[in-house]
Amino acid sequence: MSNDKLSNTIRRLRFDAGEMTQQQLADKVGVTRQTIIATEQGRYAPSLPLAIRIARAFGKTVEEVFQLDS
Amino acid sequence: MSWIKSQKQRVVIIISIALILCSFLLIPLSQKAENFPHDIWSNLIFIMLMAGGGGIGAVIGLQMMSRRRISSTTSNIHTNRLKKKAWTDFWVICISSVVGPLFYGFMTYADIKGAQGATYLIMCLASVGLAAGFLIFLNAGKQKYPVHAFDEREFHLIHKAINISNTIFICYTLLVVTSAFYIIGGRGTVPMWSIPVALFSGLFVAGTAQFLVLMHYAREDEKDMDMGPVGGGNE
Repeated sequence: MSNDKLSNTIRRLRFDAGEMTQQQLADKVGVTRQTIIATEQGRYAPSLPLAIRIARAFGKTVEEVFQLDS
Repeated sequence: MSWIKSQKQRVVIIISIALILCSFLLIPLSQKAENFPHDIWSNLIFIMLMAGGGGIGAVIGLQMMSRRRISSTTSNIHTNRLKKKAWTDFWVICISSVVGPLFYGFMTYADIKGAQGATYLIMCLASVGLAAGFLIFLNAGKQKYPVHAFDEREFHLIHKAINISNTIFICYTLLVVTSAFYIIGGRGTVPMWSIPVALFSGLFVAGTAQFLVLMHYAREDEKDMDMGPVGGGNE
């Protein structure tokens, strides 16, 4: 079992993107706000397509949004 | 009848009416059985139970569908779809647990007592069920979100709940079978009515477990929504 933890910078990126709300981001990537909250808090590791959609919503690469902490 | 708009609502009504009509069909069938309790009171109670089950099922189904339509048009961001799914599945399992054993018990008894045509009735019902399922499948294909409009995390949670529910059903089945062997052993016979009762009670237990797990996830989601981080929600 790997102990890697997926962290992310979604909250900061939302703030940088004109204080985008969780709901706005959720609508943009096509998921519920609960999913954005869970992802932001690191409780849910999104699938690769969703990670790419989130990164694209901020105009970033996946690695800039998600980091793997060992 | 302006409130009957969607295909699913029509399917619910058709199934309910079919269920009620089937209860009437069972009366003449039972007349052919020997020693069958086909006095007026038995028939009346059976019709009332079947019609009641079908009617309650139709009312609950229509109520839930009308609620879903209202919530989708108002675009309420606090809508918790996991909770809705949990309640919908729970009502379905409750109705099935009442109507199912009653129907199968009656049919088994009728078959034992020699009622002719019981098999044909089951085949008719299976055909109605298949047709209804096919209609729902076709209708689902036309929607914007082909399956349920759940996102990937919700699907993940629902699958987890279904896995837990399936495990509980398997454990329950093993427990019932083991208990039956322990109690009866090789000496006696199992009464026929115990099979549908065991099946539906197992489904009810598994369905209740799925409901509780989904409600737990839904509550966690709601907690996050209430105490959500700054920057979320309505602003």
